Amino acid sequence: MLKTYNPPHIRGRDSNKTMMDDVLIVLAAIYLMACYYYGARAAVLGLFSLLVAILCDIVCKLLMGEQLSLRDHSSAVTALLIPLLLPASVSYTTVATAVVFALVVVKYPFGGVGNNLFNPAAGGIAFVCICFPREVFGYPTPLEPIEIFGKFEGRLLYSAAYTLKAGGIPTGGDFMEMLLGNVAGPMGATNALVVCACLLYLIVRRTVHWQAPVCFLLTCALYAYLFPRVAISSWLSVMYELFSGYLILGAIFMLTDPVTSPKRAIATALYAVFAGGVTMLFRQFGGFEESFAFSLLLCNAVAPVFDYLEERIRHQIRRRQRAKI
Amino acid sequence: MDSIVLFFLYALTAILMENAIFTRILGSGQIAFFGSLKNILLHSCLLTLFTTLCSFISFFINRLLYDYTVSTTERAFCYLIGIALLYLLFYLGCDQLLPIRLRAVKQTLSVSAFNCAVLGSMILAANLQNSLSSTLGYGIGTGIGYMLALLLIYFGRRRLELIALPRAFKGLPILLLYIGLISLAVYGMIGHQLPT
Amino acid sequence: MYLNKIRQHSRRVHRFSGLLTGNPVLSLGLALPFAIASTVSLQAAFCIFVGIAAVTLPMMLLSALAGRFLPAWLRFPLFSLCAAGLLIPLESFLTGLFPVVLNSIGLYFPIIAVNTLLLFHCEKEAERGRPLQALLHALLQLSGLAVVLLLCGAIREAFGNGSLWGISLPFLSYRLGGLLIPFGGCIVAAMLAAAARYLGRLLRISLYRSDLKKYTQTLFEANEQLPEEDLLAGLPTAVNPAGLQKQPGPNGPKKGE
Repeated sequence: MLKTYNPPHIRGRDSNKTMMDDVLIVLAAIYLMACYYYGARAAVLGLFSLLVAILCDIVCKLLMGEQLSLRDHSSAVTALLIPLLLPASVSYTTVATAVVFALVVVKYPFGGVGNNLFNPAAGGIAFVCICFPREVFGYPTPLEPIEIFGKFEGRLLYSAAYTLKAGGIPTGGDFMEMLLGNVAGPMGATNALVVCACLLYLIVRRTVHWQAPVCFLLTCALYAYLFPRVAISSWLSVMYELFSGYLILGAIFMLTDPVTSPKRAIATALYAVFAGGVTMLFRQFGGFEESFAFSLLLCNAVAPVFDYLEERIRHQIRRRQRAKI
Repeated sequence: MDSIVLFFLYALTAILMENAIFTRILGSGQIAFFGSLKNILLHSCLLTLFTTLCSFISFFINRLLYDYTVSTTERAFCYLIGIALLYLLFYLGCDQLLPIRLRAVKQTLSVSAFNCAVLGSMILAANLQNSLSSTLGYGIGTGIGYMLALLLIYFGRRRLELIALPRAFKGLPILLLYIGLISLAVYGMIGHQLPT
Repeated sequence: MYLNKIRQHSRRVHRFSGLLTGNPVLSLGLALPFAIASTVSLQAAFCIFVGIAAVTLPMMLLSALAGRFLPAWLRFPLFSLCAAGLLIPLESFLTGLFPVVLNSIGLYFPIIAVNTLLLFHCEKEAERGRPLQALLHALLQLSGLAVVLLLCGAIREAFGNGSLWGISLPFLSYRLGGLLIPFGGCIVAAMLAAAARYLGRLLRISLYRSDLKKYTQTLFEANEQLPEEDLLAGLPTAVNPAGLQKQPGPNGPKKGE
């Protein structure tokens, strides 16, 4: 039970356990808000997803001949994150499909924790977006009761992201409602205020580098300001683009993944700017209303380039300084 | 002006949205998975040259066959004759002009010319607007997209060599998985199945 | 004899290279477009296999018979053109049987003429020049290809469309549409390759263990002393987890050992 595994950080007082525990605390807070809007189904979806992840962990580690470890919470983070990126009306089989894909296809074949090249949650979400688009992009009304188990039979709404994609102007809610989460959207991503508070907590605890989410969101905001998708004012465009879909939640939990993002500060900032540009291009020209998961997979493939470029630039600077001396 | 716009539009489509490797899995798996950087660059440059020149050939063949009802395989046979003639021209040219210096080119020429990506791009270009600029743009875009995809796979292969992979996945399986996940990402841009 | 079973297994596997090991798709990476992108159904996989088999067998025979007499630069164009010529009547024959399937396969049928399986093996057989061996080798490679194509087609159709050979399977109501897209094919092929490798290794380990058990029993019955070391002792730690055993140096065992 005390087997060593690959910690995704390089050095420091942190351990894998403390980093993941901070993220779990923050996810718990987001689940509380999701339960406020959508009832106990939100929490049950999270627990079900956790159970599926534990089963996948056991099977994969037995097949790989590794020992099980209670200290590795990375799968728990992936499992709890996935339902937050989906609507509360999603079926349990869809959540299970996303979790199984994330762990069995995206994480463990590449070597498990600390070795995966792609973000598992992004992979799982991307897969279910393609397999079940109607379930993943149809949202229940907030504050309306939903049955805990069974298929959702009520009315599903479109989110602001769909309206923008279709070329319309969203009318679902004003700025305060979007900030507090009283709009149709992924169950963990709509409450922007709580999500931003979580970001502050993670930055203060130094679990995430501030460069990634801040530069990413600034890039997206700048793109939305300069190139609004519909005929609205630039500031409204920024508001709708940032608060629709799961852009902010993804920037905090998926973009800042210590395994798949660059390791150096400037490289992280450049990577985040690149990811922001690619995400907004995917939103504008892509096939789905919310394509952050797809753009993140593409950015993960090119992430080491930024570390390599920064190292080469620093090497050149050091050479010139030594030459001057 | 229209033809220049069409050229760039079809070239960008062939590079990003209809990438030969990530959307249709066309190409030579052996060089992609086992080749060195030098081989990959040489192979993809030659392939780009062939897709560009063969797009001219396919345009004129389509013009000739315009009034006839031909099946895809019959059309492909005509394209293959064009590819074979072009290949022989290049091979014999290299052999006569610089036989020793261009030995590596001669060795890679056959694999680059008789490739699923070259023939596939010619067949797909037949369905485009019947204009030279769109066909040419599609041909060049296919070659450049192929080159970028192979480079991405090569750098991914180098990263994967540094990781302690499970024994069953070392080599081809993990590369296929890597290509599959990038293909999943590219599909997010397209949003629908491409026509074959 | 020590390691009898595993030696027999290696010989058998080497004799059937292409079917049991050295699979053209899963080991050599040949004919990947066909195995990954076009096998969206069992019928499509069958049509693609028929196409590849119909061109590969005659072409490999031709290359073994006449390949040596052709200059190297002429082989690829000749083989591709002959293969394309063979595909034309085959396409009309298959369109009569499976019109919808051939239409859905689209460009993957004509590009069989330039597939890497054909060109790679024809080039090899042209160098060797043995027709009977070429035919046998072609049959083995095609059997390996058939297994992969039909498995991929069956899995993707069953779990992606809920049917098999066009017949709906009522017990498979949960459908993953993503498997019908090329990235799904890549993932299915990768998992098949990994599963084949994993099962092959399990088989070799079980054969080695049964050999070792039989050997130790034989020694015990013959009242001989059991060896102090396992045969794996000289190998690096990664293979022998018990660790390296000290081997005597070139000058013999040191004083005190």
